[in-house]
Amino acid sequence: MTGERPFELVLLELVLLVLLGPLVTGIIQKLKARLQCRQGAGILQPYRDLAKLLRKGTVQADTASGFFHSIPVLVLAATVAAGALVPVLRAGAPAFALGDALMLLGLLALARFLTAVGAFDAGGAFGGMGASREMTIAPLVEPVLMMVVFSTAIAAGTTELGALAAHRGTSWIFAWRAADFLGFAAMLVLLPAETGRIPVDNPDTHLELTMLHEGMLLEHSGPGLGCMLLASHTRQIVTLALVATLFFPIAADGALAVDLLLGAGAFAAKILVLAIFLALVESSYAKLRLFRVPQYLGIGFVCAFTALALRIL
Amino acid sequence: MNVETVQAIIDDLGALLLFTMILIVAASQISRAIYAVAAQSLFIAIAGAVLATATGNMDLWVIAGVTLVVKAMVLPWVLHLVVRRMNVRREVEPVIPIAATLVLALMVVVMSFHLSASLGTVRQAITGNALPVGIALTLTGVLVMATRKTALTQMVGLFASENGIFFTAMAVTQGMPLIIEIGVILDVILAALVMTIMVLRVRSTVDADIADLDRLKG
Amino acid sequence: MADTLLWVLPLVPTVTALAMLMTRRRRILSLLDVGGSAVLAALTLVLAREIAADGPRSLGVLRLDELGLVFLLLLAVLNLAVSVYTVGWLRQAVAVGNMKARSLRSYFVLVHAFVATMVVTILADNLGILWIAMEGTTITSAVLIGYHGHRHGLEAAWKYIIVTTIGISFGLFGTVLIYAAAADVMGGAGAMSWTAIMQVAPQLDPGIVRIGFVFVIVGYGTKAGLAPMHLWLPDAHSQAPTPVSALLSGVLIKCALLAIIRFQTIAAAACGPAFAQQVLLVFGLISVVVATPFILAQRDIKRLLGYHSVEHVGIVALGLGFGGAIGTYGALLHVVNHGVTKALAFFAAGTAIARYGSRDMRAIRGLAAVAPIGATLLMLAALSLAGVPPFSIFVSELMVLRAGIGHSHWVAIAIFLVMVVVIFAGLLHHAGAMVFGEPRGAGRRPEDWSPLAGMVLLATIMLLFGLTIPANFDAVLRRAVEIVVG
Repeated sequence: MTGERPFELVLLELVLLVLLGPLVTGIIQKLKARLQCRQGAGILQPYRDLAKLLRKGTVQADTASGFFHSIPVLVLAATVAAGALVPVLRAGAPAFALGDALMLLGLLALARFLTAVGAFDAGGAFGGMGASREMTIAPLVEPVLMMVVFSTAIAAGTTELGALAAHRGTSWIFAWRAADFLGFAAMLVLLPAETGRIPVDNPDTHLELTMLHEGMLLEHSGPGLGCMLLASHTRQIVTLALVATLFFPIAADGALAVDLLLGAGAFAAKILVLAIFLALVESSYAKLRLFRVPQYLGIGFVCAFTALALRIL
Repeated sequence: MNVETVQAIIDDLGALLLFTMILIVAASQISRAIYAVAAQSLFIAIAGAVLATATGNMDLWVIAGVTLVVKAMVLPWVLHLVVRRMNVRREVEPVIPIAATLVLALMVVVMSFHLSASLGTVRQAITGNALPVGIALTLTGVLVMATRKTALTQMVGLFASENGIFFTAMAVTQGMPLIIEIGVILDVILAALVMTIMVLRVRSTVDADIADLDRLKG
Repeated sequence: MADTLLWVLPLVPTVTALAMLMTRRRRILSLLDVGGSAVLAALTLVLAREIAADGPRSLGVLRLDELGLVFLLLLAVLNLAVSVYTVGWLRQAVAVGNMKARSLRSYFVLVHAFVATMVVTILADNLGILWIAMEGTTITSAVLIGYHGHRHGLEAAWKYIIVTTIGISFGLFGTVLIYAAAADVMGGAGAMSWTAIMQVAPQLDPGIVRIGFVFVIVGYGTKAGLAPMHLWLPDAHSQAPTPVSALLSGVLIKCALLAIIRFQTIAAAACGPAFAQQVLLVFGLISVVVATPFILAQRDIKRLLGYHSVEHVGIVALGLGFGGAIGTYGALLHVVNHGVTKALAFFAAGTAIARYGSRDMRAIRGLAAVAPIGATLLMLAALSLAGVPPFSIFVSELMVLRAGIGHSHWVAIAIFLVMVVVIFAGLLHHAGAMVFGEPRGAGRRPEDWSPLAGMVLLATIMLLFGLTIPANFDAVLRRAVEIVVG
C-alpha cells in the first residue's frame, strides 16, 4: 500500500491507461447496444476507427489558422499528462514530484479549453455553438469536482492522488464517512457531464441540437480527428480512474509481478463497474434540454458542498 | 455494537437523508418527490432499527416498524394513487426557480451544522449528526412547502419535515416515550388523510388544484 | 374527588359528541349541545373552587394549576355562550341554506370533539400530550373551517391546515430539544412532564433550551396567530361558521399561548428571563404593527375581526415580554378579556351578516333601526375592542402599558400607543357606519332570543371585568402570575 511508485511503474500505468481508454468506450457502446436489443459493433471497434483515421488525409477549413493544426496534438498531450497523475496499479506517491489532483483537473480543463478554442478558430457555426455550450457546462462541473476532491483530501491531508489512495487503505468500505456518501453521489451526477454522455450530451449523434462535444470535433479530420478521439477516450478513463482513486482505492501491496497483476485486475473491475453504470444511465434516461442541465448539475453541486461542509463542520 | 459504530452509522444515514432531501428539492416531477420521501422514511426506519439494537430499547423497534409501514409504504402509495387517478398536474410548479431553491437549501444545511456546532456538551444527548441533520431536514421541508404551488408537493414537504423531527427524536440518547411517538405518527396520518380528502374534494368540485386557490387576499 | 374530575373534564365533551352521533334532529342536537356545555361549565366551577382552596391538582398526565384554570374558565364560559348562540343561529342558517340539515350531526360532533381536544391541551402536564392534543385541535377545526363547503372555505381550510401543521412541527422539534436537555439531566424518566422539568430547570443546558424555545415560539406562535406566521388566521376565522370563529378566536389561539407560556417558564428558569422576554417582545411588536394597516383597509367584517385577533395576541405577547408581575397579570387578564370580547364581537357580526346576507361592511348599514339590541351589542363590542373604558380590554391594555413603562421599553410603548390609537379610530369609524344611518337591504325580522342571550351573557362579563375584577378570580390570577414569574 505504501511505498513509492518508481518511474517505470508510472510509465507503465500511463501506457495502460491510454491503451485501455478506447476499450472502455467500446464496452459501453456494446452494452448500450445490447440493452437496446441490437448486436452493436464489436468491443474493439474504437481501435479500428482510430487506425482508419490515422490513414486518412486532413482537410482543413480556409478560415482556420495555423494554430488549428496543433490543437489535436496539444489536447492529446494535456489529457495524457493528466493520465500520468492517477494511480492505477498500486497506491502510493510517485518517486518524483509529478503533480496532484488539482494539476489533473487543471490539465483536463486545459484540454477542454483548447478544444473549444480550436472549434472557434475554424469559424464554423456548429463549432461555435458546440464550444459555447460546452463552456456553459464547464463552470458548473469543474468547481464541483474540486469540492469533491477537497472533501476527500481534507481527511487524508494531501491532494496528491497516490498518497490519498494510500491513506485510504484497503478497508475502504468501513472508512466511508457520511461525507463520502454525498461526495460519491456528487461524482456520479458529474460523470455523464465530464465524459460527455446522456443526460448531458449525446455522444452518438451528430445533430446540431444535441452536440456539445461532437460540435467541437466537427472541423477536425484525419489524424487530427484521431488524436481528438483518443483524447476523449483517455479523458473518460482518467475520470473513471479518479473516481476509483477517491472512493475505492483497493490496491495491492508489494512490487512483485503477482501484486501488480492483482492491482491491474482490481482496477479493471472498478472501471468496468463504473462503465456499466454509465451505460445503464445512458440507456435509462433521455438527454436533458440545455437549460435544464444547470439544474441537474445543481444537485451535484449541493451534494459536493454538503460533503465539504460535513467534513469541515 | 459500541458507541462509535452507532454514531458512524447514524452519521452515514444522516448523509443519505440529506441526499434524499436534495432530491426532493430538485425534483421536477411529483412522482419523483414522492419516491424520494418514501426512501427517506425507509432510511429513518433503518435508523430506528439500528438505534433499537444499540440501546436495547424495545419501543424503538415498534416505532421503526410503524414508520416503515406507514410513512414509507402506505402514505406514498396513497399519494401515488391520487396522482394517477385524479389527473393532478404532474409537474412541480416552483415559485422561485429550482436552482434558487437548491441554493437556499444549501444555506439551510450549512447554517444548521454551524448552529449545532456552537452548542455545548449537551450535544451528546443526541447521537451523532442527528441534531443538525434533523434541523436541516425540518427547515428544508418548510422551504419546499413554501416554494411549491402544487398541493401534493406541499404534503411531501410536510412529510419530509416530520421525518427530520423523528430522526432527532429517535436519536435522543435516552429515548422518547413510546406513547408520544405513536401519538405523533397517528396525528401525521390523520392530518395526511384530511389533507388528501381536501385535495380530492376541491379537485372534484372546483377542478383546480387546492394550492392554486388564492382569492382570499389582503 | 377533584383529581378524578380532571379526567372527567375532557370526557364530558367526548361523551356529548358520541351521544350526538345517535340523533339527527336539530332540536335534540341543540339540546345536547347546550346540556353538554352546561355540564362542562358546572364541573369547571367546581374544580375552580377546589383549586382556589387547595392548590394545583394532578392525576397522571393531566394537571390543573391556577395558570391553566384561567384558560379553562375562559373555555368553559365561551363554550356555554357558543352553545346558547348556536341554537338560534343554526335555525336561521338552515333556513337560509348555509348549513345543510343532513350534516348538522357531524357539525355538532366535530365542535365537541374540538372542545375536548382543547380541554386536553389546557390540562396536559406532559409536553408530548400537549402537542398531540394541539394537533388534534388543528385537524378538527380544519374540517370545521371548510364546513360551508364553498371554494373560499376550502381554500381557507387548506391554508390553515398546511400552515399550522408545519408550525406545530416546529413546536414538536422544540419539544424534542427541551426533552433532550431535560433527559440529559434527569435520565429519561418523566422528562416529558412540565412539573418535573421545572424542578430541574436551572440545570438545563441554556444553549439547547434557547434554540428549543425559539422553535417552540415559532411553532406554537403559528397556532396562536403571532406575526409573521399569522397568514392563515384572517382567512380561517372569516370563512368558518360564526360559532366556530368565536371558539377559534376566543379560545384556540389562547390555548397556543398557554403552551408558549409553559415553555417560557422553562426557558426563564434555564437561561434567565431576559431571553424569552426579548423573543416575545419582538414577535408581539411585529404582530401589532403588521395587523394595523390590514385592519384599516378591511371590508369583510369577519376578516377585520381576524386581524384584530392577531393584534391582540401581539398585545398579550408584549405583556409577557415586558415581564414582571404587572406585565404577566395584564397579559393573562387580556387573554380572558379579549376572548370574551372577541366572541361577543363575532356573535354580533354573525347576526348582522345573517340579517343583511353579506359580509361586506359597506353593505351593512343602519343596524340600529332594524335590530336595536343587536346593534347596541355590536357597538359595545367594537368600543371594547378599541380599548375604551369602562370595558375590560381597556383595563388589561393599561396594565400592559404600565408594565412596559415600568421596564423602560420606550420604543415598544411608543409603537404600541400609536397602533392602538390608529385602530381605535378605524374601528369606531367602521362600527359607526354599520350601526347608524339608513337600513338598506336588511331583513326586517324580529331578533332571535338565543343569540341575544349568548351575547348578553358575554357582554355582562365584559362590563364586569371592566369595572372590577371579582376577588376570587383576582386571587387565581395572582397565583397564576406567581407560577409564570417564579
